[in-house]
Amino acid sequence: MSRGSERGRLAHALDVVRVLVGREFKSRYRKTSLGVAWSVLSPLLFLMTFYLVFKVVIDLQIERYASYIFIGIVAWTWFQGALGDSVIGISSNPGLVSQPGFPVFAVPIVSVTTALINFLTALPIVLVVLLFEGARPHLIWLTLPLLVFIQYVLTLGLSYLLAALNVHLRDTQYILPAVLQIGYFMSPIFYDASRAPKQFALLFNLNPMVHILGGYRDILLRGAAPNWGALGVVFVCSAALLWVGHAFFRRASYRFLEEL
Amino acid sequence: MATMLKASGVGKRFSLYTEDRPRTFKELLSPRVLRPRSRGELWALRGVDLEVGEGEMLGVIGHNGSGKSTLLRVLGGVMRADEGTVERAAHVNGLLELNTGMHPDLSGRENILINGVVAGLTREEVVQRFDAIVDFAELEPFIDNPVRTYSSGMKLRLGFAVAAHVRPRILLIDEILSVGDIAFQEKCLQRIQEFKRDGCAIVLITHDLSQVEQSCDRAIWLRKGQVAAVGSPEMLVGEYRAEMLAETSRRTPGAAAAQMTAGGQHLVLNENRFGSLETVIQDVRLLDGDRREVRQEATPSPFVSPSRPPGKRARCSPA
Repeated sequence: MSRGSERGRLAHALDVVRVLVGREFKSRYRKTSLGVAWSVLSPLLFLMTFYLVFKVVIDLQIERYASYIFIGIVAWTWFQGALGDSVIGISSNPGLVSQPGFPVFAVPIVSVTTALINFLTALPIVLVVLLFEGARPHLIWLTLPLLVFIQYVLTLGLSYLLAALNVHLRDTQYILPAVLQIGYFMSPIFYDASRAPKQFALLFNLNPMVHILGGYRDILLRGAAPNWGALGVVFVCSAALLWVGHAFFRRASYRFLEEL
Repeated sequence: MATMLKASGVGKRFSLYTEDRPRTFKELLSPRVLRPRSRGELWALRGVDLEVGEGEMLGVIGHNGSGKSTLLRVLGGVMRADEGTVERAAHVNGLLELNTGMHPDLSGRENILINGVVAGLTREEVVQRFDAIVDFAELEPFIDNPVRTYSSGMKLRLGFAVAAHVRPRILLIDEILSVGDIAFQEKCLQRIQEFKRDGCAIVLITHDLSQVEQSCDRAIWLRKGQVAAVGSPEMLVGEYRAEMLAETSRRTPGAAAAQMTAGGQHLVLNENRFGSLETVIQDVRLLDGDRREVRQEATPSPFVSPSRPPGKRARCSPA
């Protein structure tokens, strides 16, 4: 195979992603006794905590609350896990960066994809909880991959920015967890978006995760079409972000080794 | 002979210590006057021209910090030159760092796949060459054990075995052949000769000058980032050695008193005594099993070292 060709390089980059995602999964759970079940168990533990606090102790009066928060938790965990992983993706892997011919642009893809697979693993459990709470499968469920795709593009764009930024400014990796923590409370994960104060509605709606989480819930909980208009805007912005993020990453990548 | 790798006027500039650009948010937010200013710049490489043809092996020699590794990184395209161009006729593979991407908790088998793909093979190619890789590394009985249980020699063998099966067309080697046991080193060198016969263009960096003499077709000598000389390995290595020797005698203090050895011989500097006197061996004694000094050459009992730590006898003074 001629590796000089564009197609050859792409095929190789795809293999790099496959192999490194595999490495993440195998190594992460290799020494645990419950193995990959942890990717489902930890969101379940969160679910129980939130259910106890916001249903049993303080009743937020949200219908099908277990499903409601579970969707929020697994979608946010994907977002947060991917960003937390990509921010150190380059700075902690100088070996990969110094390998001639290595497709460095694949590293953030590995982070986002690994977290995506965790999300997909938890999804069947979400469906079980949904059915248990009385939701019924609906044709609109088939549009779920569209929403997953939008979130993927958004997350990857941010990942490129963070990974490149952290090589030059290591503060990024320490600021990110705090920002994500704020984002966690600023996004309707355990509460209902409509309870946000009206005067802040515009600000609130600037958060793309508000629309993505809302989309998941419209589709899964209510069997209704999500607000495609808002999601379309989120998608266009995410695609632009990905383009900018990748360009920034590529420009920065020529100087990665000088800082590592 | 077709040119596989060509560098023309390559220069790479590094900033010395700090740059104007902020590295942390604190610097970013601090007023400009407080920010440590750039202390100038350093050309790690300047005006480097070189050409490597098919089946040719080029040795790069030079002192530490002469720009050898930077040159390899620029040739490999993982660093971008600030001036000049690098042309590559094929995909470049590197033997720069072995075991890249390997994970200690995963088995040798799993790591071969990861390392092979990271080194530039597709999954399919690694699978096809898997048995040959394991065979080359001589690790068959351990291939399903986690790599963290491997000795450093075993890890090295695994890493080189993968790299040896990439079938490169342009190969960059940085100093890695000086590790591992002699038998495996020999095997690696043979493998590199095979690459050469198959038409691979190779650039080798090493401090082992005899390796340059033995296996390279041409050599370049880097001094402070610039090409000091290009030529046949024998000639260049000879000159390089001569310069190192001259450097040593330059550092040799002129007026050191002649010394007398315990055996009664006069030592006169630069006549029968050489070196810069930065480190001096003052005393060597052979002791037998009962820690008695041995005077004749042959002794029936094994030698032991004296109990005094060796540092006490080697006097080191800063240059």
